Amino acid sequence: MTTASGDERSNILVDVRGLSKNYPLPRSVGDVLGRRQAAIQAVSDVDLQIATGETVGLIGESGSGKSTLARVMLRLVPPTAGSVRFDGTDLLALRPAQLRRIRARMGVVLQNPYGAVNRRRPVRAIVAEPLLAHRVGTKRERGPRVQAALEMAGLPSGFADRFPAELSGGQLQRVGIARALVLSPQFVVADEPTASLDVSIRAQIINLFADLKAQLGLAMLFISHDLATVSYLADRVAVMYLGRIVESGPAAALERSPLHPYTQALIASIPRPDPAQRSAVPPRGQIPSPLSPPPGCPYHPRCPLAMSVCRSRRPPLEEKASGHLAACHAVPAARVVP
Amino acid sequence: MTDSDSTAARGPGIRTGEPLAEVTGLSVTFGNPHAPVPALREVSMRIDRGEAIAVVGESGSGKTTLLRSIAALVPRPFIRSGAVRFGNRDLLTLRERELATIRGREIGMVFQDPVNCFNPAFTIGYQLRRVFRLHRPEPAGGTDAEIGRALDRVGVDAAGRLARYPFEFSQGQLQRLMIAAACFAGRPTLLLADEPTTSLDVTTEAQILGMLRELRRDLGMALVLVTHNLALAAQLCDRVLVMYAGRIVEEARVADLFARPAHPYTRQLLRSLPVLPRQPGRLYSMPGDPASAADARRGCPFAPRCEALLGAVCADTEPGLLPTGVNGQLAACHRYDTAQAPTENLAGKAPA
Repeated sequence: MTTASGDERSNILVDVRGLSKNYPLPRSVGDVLGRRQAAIQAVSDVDLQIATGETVGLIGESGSGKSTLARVMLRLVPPTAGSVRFDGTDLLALRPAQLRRIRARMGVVLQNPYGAVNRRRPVRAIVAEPLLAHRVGTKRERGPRVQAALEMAGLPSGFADRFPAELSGGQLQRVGIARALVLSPQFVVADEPTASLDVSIRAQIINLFADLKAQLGLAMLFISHDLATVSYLADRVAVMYLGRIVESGPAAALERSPLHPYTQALIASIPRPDPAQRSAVPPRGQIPSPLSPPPGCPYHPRCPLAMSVCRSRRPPLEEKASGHLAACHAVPAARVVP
Repeated sequence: MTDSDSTAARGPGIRTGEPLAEVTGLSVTFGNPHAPVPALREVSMRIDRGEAIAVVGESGSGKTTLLRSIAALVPRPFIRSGAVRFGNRDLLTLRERELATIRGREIGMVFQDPVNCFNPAFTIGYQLRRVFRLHRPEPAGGTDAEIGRALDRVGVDAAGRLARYPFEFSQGQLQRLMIAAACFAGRPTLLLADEPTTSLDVTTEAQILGMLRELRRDLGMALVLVTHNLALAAQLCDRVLVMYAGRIVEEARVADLFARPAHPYTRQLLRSLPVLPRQPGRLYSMPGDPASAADARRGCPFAPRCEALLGAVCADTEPGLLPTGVNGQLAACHRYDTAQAPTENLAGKAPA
């Protein structure tokens, strides 16, 4: 397995090694399909390190395994193989009571704010839920903490007594962010938090995350299918394809000189808000089914650079430039300077 | 990469082509007389033959209601005033029976969510055959051959696929099937598309965009594209209408809109877009929430979020859609009102 450049960084808060998640198919489905492997490999052999105060952007198309990776990292679903260490503690070895304690140090923001809150409860109760779940503080102490979290999320105090139906999508997403922050977590996972928002609101929420990152020193995993959104927040970016990380590196390097042909295609696909730059050649094909991943490099059926080796051998994720990793036979590896 | 024969460069000037459809003074109010919910206020637009128009706006701007009105899909009681002329007919006065010969046949429609536009209980072939037979009773060579040719045009291999069910197709493929039905079941001169790529991945979106561009060129269809994504307007359209709170607040040729946005809302919206390569510093964000026509207020509906307020006039009176003096560009902003004291003309300047 390739070691990530993250090893050199200090203060690793979240350390993911060789993480895989298979969803076995029912026997009958496996038989009918005649697959050798009767499982969907949602996440395969992922290494990912997030340092204290660092934001890692995770991008990829639907079905690439972004959300599954996040869920396994939080141990919301158990992995098939690999390890997740949070601040040195192996999450997978913990008993339920210990796991609950350490989860108080993590927060989650979900994509669809309408589906993520109980519509029959006022904002105050929604945001207080994590405090109750972790039995933090007395009733009297909880009020100010809820208020502080709402303020951090940019909601004036008047919002505490409102109900979700009275809020706009952007305000509701702020409620979701306040709920993720109320326990003062060290690590926040944000899964497509801007995907369902209007253009003007999306910019507000991107800036809110940027402020929180700067003020609270949060480590963050920011999942999005849009590299442009991620580039405003992330220090490093990882690109997933069919359950594997195919490229990772500093956000600026990945955006300016993407190495993997898939990342290049993703960037080329983003429609530009400029009528003088009309893209001519869209990338071909679509993401293959994880039921029958192609042999060799998972991207070779769509890749313009595919060579014979790509069809037989899967390229390892290796360092191609300083701190910039890619899994591609066509990109020469960096000469590592001692 | 630049499309060298891009229509943006030599695109038609505003209102110089041959009219295909025209919306005049359309006002739509949902709800009931005791609780009216205005959605569109006095909207007028013209669609020329073969022209691509983007209708851009945020939630509540009325863009989808406008699109549905063009297909006469908004129930009659909600239409307060206005007309939708298509050819020599006013669609809002026709009976359902007459509309059925226009919708799908002369006006094709593509919706946002392809998954919910197909019935999961019937095969794709059954559903496509129904649509094709409705509009083309006896095609030479049979309906299936016709469907096969249509699917070929949208890049779906028809062999053996017609007996399959919607769940066996990806979202992108279903959207291609819907586009095939919209473009080839009838012979549409107008294609209405409501956020056709919003639920798709960025690579699939790019493929669908390229396909729409080709189909429009080959079939000579006019297109009205409703989207929240200004980039799609830039990529696909000749002319852009920007909507806010149930009204058109800016109308411009696509090159002018992006080079010289005239309405403060358009300018602020363009600045809010995260773009690659990343611009240094903080992303601009507009204060407040998008307004809808139901949020009745005095003065300009955009005033609470506007960063270029002119003073009391913005709070007191709602501006009409006024010429900015550049290429027929229009903007609903008091700064273009010649009766007002002369102010800085935003349209004459490049955006910040």
